[in-house]
Amino acid sequence: MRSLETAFGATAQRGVDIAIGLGATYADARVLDMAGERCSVRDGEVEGMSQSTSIGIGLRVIADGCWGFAATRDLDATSVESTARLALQVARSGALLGPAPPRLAPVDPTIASWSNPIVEDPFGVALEEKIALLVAATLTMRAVAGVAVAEASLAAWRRHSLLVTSEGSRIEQRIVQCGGGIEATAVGESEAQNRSYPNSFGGDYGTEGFELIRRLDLVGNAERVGREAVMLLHAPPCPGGVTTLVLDGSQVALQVHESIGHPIELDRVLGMEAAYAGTSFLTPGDVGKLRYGSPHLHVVADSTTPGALGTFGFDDEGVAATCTPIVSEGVLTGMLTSRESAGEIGMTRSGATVRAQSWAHLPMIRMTNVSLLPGSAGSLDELLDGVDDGIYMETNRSWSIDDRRVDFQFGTEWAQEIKGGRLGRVVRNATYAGRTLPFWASLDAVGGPDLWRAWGLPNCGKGQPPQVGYVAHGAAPARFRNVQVGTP
Amino acid sequence: MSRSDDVGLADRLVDAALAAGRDADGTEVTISRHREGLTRFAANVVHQHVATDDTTVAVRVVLDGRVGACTTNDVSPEGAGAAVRSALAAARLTPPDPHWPGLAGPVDLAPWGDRHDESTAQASPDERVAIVAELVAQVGDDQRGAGALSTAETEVTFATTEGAHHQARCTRAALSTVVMGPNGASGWAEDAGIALGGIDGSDVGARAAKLCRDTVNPEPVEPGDHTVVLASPAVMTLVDHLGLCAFSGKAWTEGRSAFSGRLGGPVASPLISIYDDALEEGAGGLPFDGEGTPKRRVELITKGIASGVVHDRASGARAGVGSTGHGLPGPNPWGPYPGHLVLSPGAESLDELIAGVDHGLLVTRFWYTRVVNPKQSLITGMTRDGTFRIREGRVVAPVRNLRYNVSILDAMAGCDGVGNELHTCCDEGGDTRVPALRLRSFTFTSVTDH
Repeated sequence: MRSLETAFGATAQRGVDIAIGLGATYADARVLDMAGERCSVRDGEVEGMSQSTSIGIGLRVIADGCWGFAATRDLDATSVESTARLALQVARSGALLGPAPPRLAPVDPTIASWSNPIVEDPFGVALEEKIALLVAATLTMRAVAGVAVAEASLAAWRRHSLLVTSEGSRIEQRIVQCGGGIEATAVGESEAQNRSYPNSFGGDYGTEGFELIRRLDLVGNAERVGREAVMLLHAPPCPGGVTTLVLDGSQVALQVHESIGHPIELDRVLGMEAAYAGTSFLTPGDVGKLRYGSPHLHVVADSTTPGALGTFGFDDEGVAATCTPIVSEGVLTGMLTSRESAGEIGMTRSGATVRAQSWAHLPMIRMTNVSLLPGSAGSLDELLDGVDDGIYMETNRSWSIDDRRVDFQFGTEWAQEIKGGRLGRVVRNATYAGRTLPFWASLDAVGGPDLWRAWGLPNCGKGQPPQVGYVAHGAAPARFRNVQVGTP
Repeated sequence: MSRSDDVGLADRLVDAALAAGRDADGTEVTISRHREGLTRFAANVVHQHVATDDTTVAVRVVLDGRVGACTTNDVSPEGAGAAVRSALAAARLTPPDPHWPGLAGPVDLAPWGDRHDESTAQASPDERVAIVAELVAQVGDDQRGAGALSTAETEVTFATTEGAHHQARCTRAALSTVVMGPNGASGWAEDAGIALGGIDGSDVGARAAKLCRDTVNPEPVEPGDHTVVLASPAVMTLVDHLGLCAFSGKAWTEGRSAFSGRLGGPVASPLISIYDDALEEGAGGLPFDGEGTPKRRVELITKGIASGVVHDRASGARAGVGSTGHGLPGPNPWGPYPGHLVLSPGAESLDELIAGVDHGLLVTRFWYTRVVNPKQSLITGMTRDGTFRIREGRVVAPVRNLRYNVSILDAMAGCDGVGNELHTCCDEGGDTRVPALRLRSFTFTSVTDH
């Protein structure tokens, strides 16, 4: 693969130099060369096989106390120069409304390259093999009597970037990510029930090679997934009430995402996302003081987690990946920060979270791998033990939370009653609801390291225009007391 | 790049792609140029200010019933040719699609009016900031405004070896804001259209600021079933989610739709009529869909009766009715989508709708709505930015935000009043035009503390 430094390093530097020469107090140029591949199969037939490539440059500047950003696909030197001038013009226009000079937390100038280790390049695996895998998985699901639709998909991305900053950083990164999943749908008179593996809404994803796909064993799980979809169709509704709730790791991951990951985004806390994504119930002063949950709650934002979807070497501001304690023994200890937001509240270092969907998008604070650390329960049985009456829920089906990240409701594909410490009958259309702090205060057990894994979410939305972020959450099954559950 | 340069480039790329696909049985090429400027503000100052420009070449090729696709933003003829060769390589490795509906052929577009405004396409950052400044000037000293003003130009050239050839362009300007004040106060307003010149920053700011002032110190409210008057932005959420739950021809044929087994029967109040029409005056966007099929009007609910679903080429072929012009760009595993929904206006003003409520709630808009059970059109979400108590036909006090869980069709079955003003709602980037509604029963399941 070609070096972006060799191909575009001088052009990117020229863009930065022009911006500084015209009066910018800071400038960076980010060249991003992206490739993607997606394959989807429905009922044994290929429904979509597509590849994509996109390359371009985004220039970010500070001038007259305001940010400006301009981006173009045209990497010709003349085009990059005019794009740098446009970024300056954009920044200076913003100052017409009143400057808001960013105070950037310092970062050491870095010259580096980074790539994630992979065993098997997903772009190197023969397309026939990928299709055959998906066809086999969907036909196995369809072979189960009662399955109306069987779907399976795989996707892979390659992001090759070069960041050049006016502070002297030059960082080249190559990141390969992939994932996939399967889903069966059973249809009745007034119900349609879905069952997915390994997770809903496309499956599971990681900063890994095709070894992740092989490890998932989609075909080996297909018959069970089909059978469970049909089973759900004939299951009774989830009974309502306040009870003990045990969640599987994937649902704990989404709970962390919505009620911890988003509220701790410092730009959201400071009101920068108010118009679209909402705000947060947190304030900067809560760090070190606020009890977020029970002493079982330990959370970190760790962009170094091997193989997790939110892992990288450096963020889009050139800050090295790091692990930030977020909640320790239930107390809030940190937030997700950028150079600007960290500087705004007097911090001396960014938490390395800033990323953009593409070269055409403005980098912003995104979750990395915001993970609930493992507890001590050695098995799911250990979590169920002692629960006389409760509900076990698995695999997200719906999610919603208010604009301050407090009042939430989640639904899951799969649920079972817990009776006398054992899983009982399957129930359908299960939901649970609550408020963020009381819910995490009710956490009284978390699965141990053997039950813990990172769950990749390739569809986190934020920003205007909306950007999709690739994030992950390490999680294990966990137990919560006194939770409202039922069927809406 | 000038307009003639754009057209010339697109034509050259089409020629290059179709030539490179000479080994295929059929080739489809879509050239899309999108330019956008965005002025985003928070705490009354600009904090994100953006200008972007990209052009993509998307190709699909067919070879012995096998389909491959590739997208690139390399807009050289060599880049377009390489994309076709990649798509061909993928097609050769793909099993034949027994349900392949074929590529679009030659067909004339219906008249659809001018959706392009040159001054919007050329809008400068200064022009956007000036409008945002007008908005911010309306924000009170104890209030903070946040929002975004975007201007965008999209130009698409579509062609197939079967003879389809369309070229169209459009512009769009959209401004929305949330104004926040003390003690839980929050107001919201938006405006959108083809031309930036039609966007009134002062009006948007004044409306949001007033709503914010009206929502200071919201009262507690009991969850449960309430009669509601939903302002247009809240109605948009219901109608758009019917697009996800009920109106897809693909889900309908698979039995997964809220309309499966119900076409021709009553699904809502006789006061409810919904259709999708990209060609009607007031609609935005392009006159053909992602597969090159001309968009056409489809009646979806007619006086409360489920009357239709929308199709792309694949779902239309399976249903034996053909595409209605609602296809997304291929390959598309998600099925057709209605992007220009309209709920027909009725006879009552917003004040008259409110006057018809003895005890109830007025809801400005919803937030974070998600489908809970598509076949039952069951959704959940929150109220936001202006929820009020109605007593004896008058708005009397702001209330705290609530979570709702409702079947959209069941709620619409209880509709007894439809507003007489159609509003274009664009907050999620869509193109939905709806009036206000009065619904006799709407289920709220919890209340926030703000």
